[in-house]
Amino acid sequence: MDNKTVYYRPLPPKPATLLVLEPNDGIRVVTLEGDMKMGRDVQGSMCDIKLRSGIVSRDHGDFIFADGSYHYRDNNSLNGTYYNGIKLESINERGTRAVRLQDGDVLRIDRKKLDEPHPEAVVAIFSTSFGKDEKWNRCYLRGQNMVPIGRNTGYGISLTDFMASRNHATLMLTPEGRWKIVDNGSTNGVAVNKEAIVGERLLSPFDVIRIANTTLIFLEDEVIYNTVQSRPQHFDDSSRQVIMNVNIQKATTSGIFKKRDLLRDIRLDVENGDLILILGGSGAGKTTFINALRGKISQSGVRSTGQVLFGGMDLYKNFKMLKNKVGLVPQFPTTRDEDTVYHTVHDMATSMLAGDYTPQEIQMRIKDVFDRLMLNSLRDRFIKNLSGGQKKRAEVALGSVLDQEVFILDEPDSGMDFATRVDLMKTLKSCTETGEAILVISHAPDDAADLYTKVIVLAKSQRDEVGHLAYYGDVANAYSFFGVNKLSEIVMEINYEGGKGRADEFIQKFEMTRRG
Amino acid sequence: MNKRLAQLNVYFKKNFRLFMNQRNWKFIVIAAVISFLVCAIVGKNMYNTFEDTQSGFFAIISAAIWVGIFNSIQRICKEHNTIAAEYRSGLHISSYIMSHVLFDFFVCLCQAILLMVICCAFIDFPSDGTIMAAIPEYFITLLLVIWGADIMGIMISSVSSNPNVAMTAMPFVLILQLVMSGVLFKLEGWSETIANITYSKWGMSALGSTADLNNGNELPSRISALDPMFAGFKREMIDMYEHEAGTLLAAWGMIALISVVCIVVSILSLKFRNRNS
Repeated sequence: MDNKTVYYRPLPPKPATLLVLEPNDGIRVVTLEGDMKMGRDVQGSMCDIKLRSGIVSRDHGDFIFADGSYHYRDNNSLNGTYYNGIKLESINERGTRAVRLQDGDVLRIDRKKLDEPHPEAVVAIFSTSFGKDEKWNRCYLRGQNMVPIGRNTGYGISLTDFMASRNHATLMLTPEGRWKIVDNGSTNGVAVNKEAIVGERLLSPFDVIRIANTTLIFLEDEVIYNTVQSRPQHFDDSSRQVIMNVNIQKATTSGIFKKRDLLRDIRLDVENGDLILILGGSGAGKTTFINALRGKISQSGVRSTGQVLFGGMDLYKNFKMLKNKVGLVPQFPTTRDEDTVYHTVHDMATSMLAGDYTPQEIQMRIKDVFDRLMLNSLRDRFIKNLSGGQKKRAEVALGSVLDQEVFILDEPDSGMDFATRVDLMKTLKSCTETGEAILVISHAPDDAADLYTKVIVLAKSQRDEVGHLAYYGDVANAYSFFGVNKLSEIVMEINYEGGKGRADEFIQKFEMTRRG
Repeated sequence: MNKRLAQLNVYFKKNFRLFMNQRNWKFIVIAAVISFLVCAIVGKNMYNTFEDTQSGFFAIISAAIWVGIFNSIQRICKEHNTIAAEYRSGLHISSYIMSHVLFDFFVCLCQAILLMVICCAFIDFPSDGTIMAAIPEYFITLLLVIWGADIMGIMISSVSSNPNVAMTAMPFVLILQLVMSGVLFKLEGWSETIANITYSKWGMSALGSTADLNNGNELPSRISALDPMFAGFKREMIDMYEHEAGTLLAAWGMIALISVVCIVVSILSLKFRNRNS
């Protein structure tokens, strides 16, 4: 095995969406699939994304898929490109540095004064969460001085998004003639350009506003916004999108005398519908990793730095707004044994959504979640009378009713026999079919190896005594990457205590593979 | 509806459901059994002498405190993981604690009614109280003590990491309550100060005030009742048993104040415990 060359195929480029706004043009939705060029639409243009604006250069910029994500580079164009309001600076004759694109990033081709856009300015919004069939709506602001934004209001900007409050926010024209957005004390808050706002904020052209799962783009005299669809009963594999970008730079114990890193450089993306297995040797930092994913940047003397992004928004910076996006289902249930499944979910929905939702809306929401997670037959059963798998499904429902998207399960199968473990994993897989992503720590990974979409392998390096990412990819490639026949053998390969101690080899190999 | 009020409403209903599903009504039955035992033993000697009456009240107050604490001592600590998960989802700790406090009021009300009915069956209470008839005054005192002890149980449960810790703490708290009542020992100096934060002292004060324990004519000391030689013996007056409205209201007020402090401590301790959630 040691002398063999092991081939590893990185994950293929994932489609992303570019929402292009050009003057005197409709809203164009461009699907990015790997490397693509962007430039002015002239005769004989070889560009994949052709723009009509006169201020766009013929070969304006490139979209590059590398290291599992999209990047953008301006090719030293005449007017340049602004990335989230900052002009990309040229570094050599080929162009500017390539910036890693994240959900909600705004690329803008414009003149220097961003507050006074050029009549032919072009804006492209990068997204990994918009669908290609997303419906976009317009709300014209001219002649108005106040536009309410809320859920199913029937006037102003009426959102279909369940997580938006009924009276969520208001767009108001100031006496100076500028528009501002005011958060009306909504449950899930308002973010402008990926930052949660407190109270109100003045808007500039092309500001991207997030209200729950809805994106609104402010264009001075109009606002465009998408229609959020309710989650499907069965999730189509082709419509999978990245919902969480993880980039944990390090997690450090913050003792008085000694600081020690526990984790370093963990970068990965989670897509909806993923069932991801987390494997790791002893001391590899699995618990630290899941705490960092949950936004617990400071817990038990451990401090995490980096980013965990949901829809391009940083969980660490916008914890209050995003904390319900990811949840932990611990080894032992946190539900009350002597309550029924229905009452457990109903109480969670009512107590957290109350004040803004009618009982009928809450009932509809519960029905939707029960239908999706096939809980109707268990509705009136006490939690204590459920099987292990059914309990986990009930806990997923508990998060799902609050729009939780990512669930982390800590050893859900411990203490179960083989048949029950397999049944549990099948249950979890069925939960992902409606769009939720589930990450599972398991010490019996081979029971349902074919059900996992991806594997995360964390390994403790002997060189720096720090946990690193030794592999992130699909299951089939994991076998060839580690040269094993079973997932459980991976832990044997990387473990120093009781294993072969090859962690450093695989950490390095994975890092090199990522770099291409 | 305000979100805190809405959560209070949800958790109040949940408490009732769990009360029925977990068969917690057995606490009411236990309270009745304890009340019966205590009243059956102390009842026949009540209102004969000062010492017998004081001892009888002490036994009743002790039973009330025990019943109250036992209602809630394990309730919160066994839900710490659940609370952590719900707190992260948006639970207001104040709503959660207040739902327990308010729901337990009704449980304590049932227990106080039972205790009072059983007391009345065994004890011939005088008709006059301090500010109203004696029976309603006794009832209010017992209700306040049971409910206050219940709230103290909530506080102990909130600060305890698990039911074992809470149950270990319970005897110490009970002993402190009994010792600090001022019945078993004379309290002076620091012990008197500590006694001011116990339900037992203020419960005894309220019952003693209603019963006019300082009235030497109605309630002679045991020695003067037993031996005619000591018929004229004047015993020491105890301030906290003064048969005045002020004494009774102050005792009730102190019980309420201690309970409010317990509620605040419960809320703060749970918030602190879940600060990283």
